[in-house]
Amino acid sequence: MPNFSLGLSALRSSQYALEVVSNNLANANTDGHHRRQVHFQELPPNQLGRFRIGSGVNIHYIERIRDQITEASLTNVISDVSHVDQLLVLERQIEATLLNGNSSVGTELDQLFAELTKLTAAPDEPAQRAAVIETGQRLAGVLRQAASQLSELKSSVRFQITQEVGLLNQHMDTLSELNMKIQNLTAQGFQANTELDQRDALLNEIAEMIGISRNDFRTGELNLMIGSASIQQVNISNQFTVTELPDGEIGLVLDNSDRPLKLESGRIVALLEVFNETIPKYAAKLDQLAGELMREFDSIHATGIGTDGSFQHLVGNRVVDNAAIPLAEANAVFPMQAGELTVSVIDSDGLRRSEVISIDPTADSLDDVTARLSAIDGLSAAVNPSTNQLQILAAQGISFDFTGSLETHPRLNSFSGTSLPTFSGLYSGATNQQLTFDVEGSGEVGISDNLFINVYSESGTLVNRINIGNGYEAGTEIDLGDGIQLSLGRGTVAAGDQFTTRLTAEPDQTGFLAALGLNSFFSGVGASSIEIDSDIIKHPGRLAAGWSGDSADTHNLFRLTALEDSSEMPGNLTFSEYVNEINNEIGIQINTDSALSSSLHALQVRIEQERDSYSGVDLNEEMVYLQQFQKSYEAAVRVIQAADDVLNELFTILR
Amino acid sequence: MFYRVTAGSFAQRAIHFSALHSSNILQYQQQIASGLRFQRPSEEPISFRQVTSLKTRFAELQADRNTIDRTTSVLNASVSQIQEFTNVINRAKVLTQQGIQSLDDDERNALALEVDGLLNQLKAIGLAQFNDKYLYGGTRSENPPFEFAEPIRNDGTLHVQYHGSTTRSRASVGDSISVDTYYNGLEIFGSRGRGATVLLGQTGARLGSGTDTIIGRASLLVTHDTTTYSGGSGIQPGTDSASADTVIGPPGSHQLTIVDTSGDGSTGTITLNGGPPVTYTSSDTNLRIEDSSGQLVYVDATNITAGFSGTIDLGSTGRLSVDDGESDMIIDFSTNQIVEDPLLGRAVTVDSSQIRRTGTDHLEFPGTSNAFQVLHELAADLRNARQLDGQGFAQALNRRLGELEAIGKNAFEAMGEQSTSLRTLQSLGFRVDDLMLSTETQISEVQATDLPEAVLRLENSQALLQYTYAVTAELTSLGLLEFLR
Repeated sequence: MPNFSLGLSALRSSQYALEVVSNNLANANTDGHHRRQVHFQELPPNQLGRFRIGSGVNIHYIERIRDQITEASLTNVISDVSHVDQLLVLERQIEATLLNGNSSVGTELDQLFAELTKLTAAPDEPAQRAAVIETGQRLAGVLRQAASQLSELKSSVRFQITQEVGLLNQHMDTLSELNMKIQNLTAQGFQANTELDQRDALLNEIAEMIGISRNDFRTGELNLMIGSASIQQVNISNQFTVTELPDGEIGLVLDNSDRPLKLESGRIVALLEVFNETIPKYAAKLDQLAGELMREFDSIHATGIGTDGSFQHLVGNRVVDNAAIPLAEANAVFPMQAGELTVSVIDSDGLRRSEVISIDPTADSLDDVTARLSAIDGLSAAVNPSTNQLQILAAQGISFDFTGSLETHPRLNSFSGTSLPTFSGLYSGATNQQLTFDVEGSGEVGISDNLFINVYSESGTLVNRINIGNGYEAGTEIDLGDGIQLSLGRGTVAAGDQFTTRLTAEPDQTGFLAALGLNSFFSGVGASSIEIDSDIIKHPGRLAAGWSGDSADTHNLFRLTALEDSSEMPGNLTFSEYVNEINNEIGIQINTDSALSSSLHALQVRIEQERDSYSGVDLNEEMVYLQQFQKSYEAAVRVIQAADDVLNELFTILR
Repeated sequence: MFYRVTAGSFAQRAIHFSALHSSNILQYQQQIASGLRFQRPSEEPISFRQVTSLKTRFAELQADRNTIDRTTSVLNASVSQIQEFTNVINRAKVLTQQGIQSLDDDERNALALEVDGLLNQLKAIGLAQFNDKYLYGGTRSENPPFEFAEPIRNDGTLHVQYHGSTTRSRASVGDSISVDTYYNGLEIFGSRGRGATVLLGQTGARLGSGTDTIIGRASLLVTHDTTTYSGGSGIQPGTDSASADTVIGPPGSHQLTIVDTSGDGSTGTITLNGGPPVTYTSSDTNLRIEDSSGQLVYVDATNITAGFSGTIDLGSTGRLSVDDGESDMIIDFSTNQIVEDPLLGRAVTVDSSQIRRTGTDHLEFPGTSNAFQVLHELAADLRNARQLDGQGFAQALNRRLGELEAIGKNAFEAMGEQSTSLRTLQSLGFRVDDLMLSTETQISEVQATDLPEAVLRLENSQALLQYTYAVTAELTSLGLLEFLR
């Protein structure tokens, strides 16, 4: 009897093979799809007489063509590429934030110093003062904008991390379901090729988010590691949670673990890296730049005065946390050191006197300093209880400043004469010191013979001997050197008469004025809050260009412009160099990551090609198989037809 | 084993390379369109830093150029004013010479009028402005540096108040280089230092040894107070003695010789300092006695002792004043008597020991007058306001000439200093221009696009992109399917 089953097995096998090929063709572009190859096997032969004749064909198995090493490498490189690409995206945003078009921090900083230099040539020009203030505002604005954009970027990154982790957890759930399905199918003796493909695709998606290493077993089981943690064992769906770390950073924890995972690559890791390190680093650099700029500028500005002259009322624009504890512990914006603060008081008769208070930040609180300021005749100081701002108020007709300018008249400690000594000029010495003047001889200033003043330094060294007797024109200035002049009016002096005066080179040795924002150019405490002091904006005459209040006094401007070349920033860098360094650092980082990205992308392409050369569907190849199995199918049909014909012929005997 | 190639491989390569070439084309398009080879640090980190440093330098140089221009303008204006100042001084010197040689009061008055004009011109120079700012007020450039007022005292000098500061304004014009802009007006127009005081007059007052503080000129007014006669003669000061006696001096500095010709004191003669005798009678209560030098005493002869004939000493106190009599002090006949003007707070030391008569002496304090005061004093002297004699007049003008010479040095020194500054500024300006050009060139060299190179690269990338498209199209069109139809 003709065996239909043989033809039928061929027909069925060819049909299945055609379907496998068609499936290959259909999924040629499906992610994770590995081409399938049909493997046939002969059916056991039938014993016919003394012959064993084959009974047909059967599909032995359908092979999922896949190279495990290549797949694992691809998963790794996908993770690395995703990591670097995400870093690049964010680093480019940081770069754009710092450069901010044509109005970058560096450009505005250069411009501020340029306008200050120009102001030395036109100090009495209101438009030029306005230009300085305007440029200062622009610089502050650019710094604030950069800091704000970094902060916004950080918030966006934080949000994205949350979203990504949510998606990752969904993937973990899906992975768990797939693992279960694969396990069940395998247990039932089915091939779980489709599920394995889906799992491969899913794992690569997970790898894009977070670096994983995988070991696939032939049984379909999967060993998955993230860092040193083994995850997703069979049907257990691990879940990730974003956790806040004590230092303000965030991390990922697995399930109920209390320790953050150590992660190496992937998009989420890049986001964490940018959130925890990159953005804070550049934000800190901006803060450091803004902080140092404010401290240096304000230290100088505080000890000068503008054309509006000395003050009757000053309010600090910076505060400490607690006015009752030592300044060093009160979280002042800028550090302070022990030293003297010279307050110049201008009495109602226009005479200037210097009052010196000592400040030791490790022992003195703001309340202590306030009490010392209040103890100065004509001044009162208080800390506003609601704002913690220090306020200094002068009595009616009295004003004050921190220029440390010469006292009009010396301290007449022991002076019996009628001649009044007067000082003038600007002290140009390098250190604060007290000079003592001893009268030698007695008589009429400008008249008597052998009448001198001996000038002694603070250490008691005789530094000058001046004739004030016959030959000296009473009331005229005697040059004492270091920019100061002494004159004695008509009258008498007596042997042993003595007076002293203080010469101030550093009015604020402590940094107190800048830390409390008294007569400062800037306000704010960092890049995010830096501004030009509102009083200066309202009253440009408060811009402290000089030491005298004269419209063309440029002494303080020279100190401010000198900051341009002063190496105040870490690494002995100037402000401009530091800005350059920040730009350069992010530039090099992007440059390096770009190169790494190119290299990794090339590697990914290469590995994908390796994978495709092994697992990819080649349409032409499949077409050949299609032709092949179509022909086989046709042949099987002919076999059945032949068997049918044979059987028909046989049945004709019966008809 | 051969490499198995799939359609996906072709597609992946095609996408990879078209993306690569497109990226390059975009980069070259940007370079060519902007003219800049890079605009962000990430494109060329090292070069970007170089360019940023150069731009910082360029901004500094631009600011320096700006301050050099502004400072040059201020100094040019100042030098031009000081040049005018020297012209004024030179013209004043010529007028002074003419005054010395002139014998005609009208001519001198005309010269004085011209000096008045010069003074007005000089006042305008002292108050010169540039850009609405005063050039000679030091750092106080907003307000007029000088205020002028008529002399407070007769025979005094022009009252000039300086409201500027003694500190010059400085401008930064380069790395650690500064130039003074607004000068202290006293440096330019001020006095050059006190010389020896000159005292002109007949009272017998001499100069003391102290250092005087009055500036310009002043009158030393010697007035009579009380005359006293030594005892024995019975003579007494007359009724006008206090106001009209001219004798001054301690007892013994003048003598009165009385001869009682009647023997009973009723008539006789009185002689002052050996001068012509004046007849008296016992009814004379205010007899005027004048000596041969014009010294006067008024005596009361009503009680002359009968029979007294002889010489008696007389002494006369007086007072000194340098403020037109607003305040005075008793002459103490010392060698160093300080006479003060309380209002001005200034004083002169005189030797009053030899003062023998009342009168007005003239004091000059050479080297203490500023340029305005020198011209004012010159005009006064040309008018001979102090009514000096011919010799005194000529000597006074000679002294004015000397003061003009001295004050002219101020102008020359300031002009020399400012001209030097201008030269410095000019050379600095050239240097800054060179540096700016050099910096711009360097920026351009580092950052500017090398256009031929960029265009060639663009062409190359375009060609490669076209090849990529072409080869992709070619390969994707080649398939078994095409042949199965």
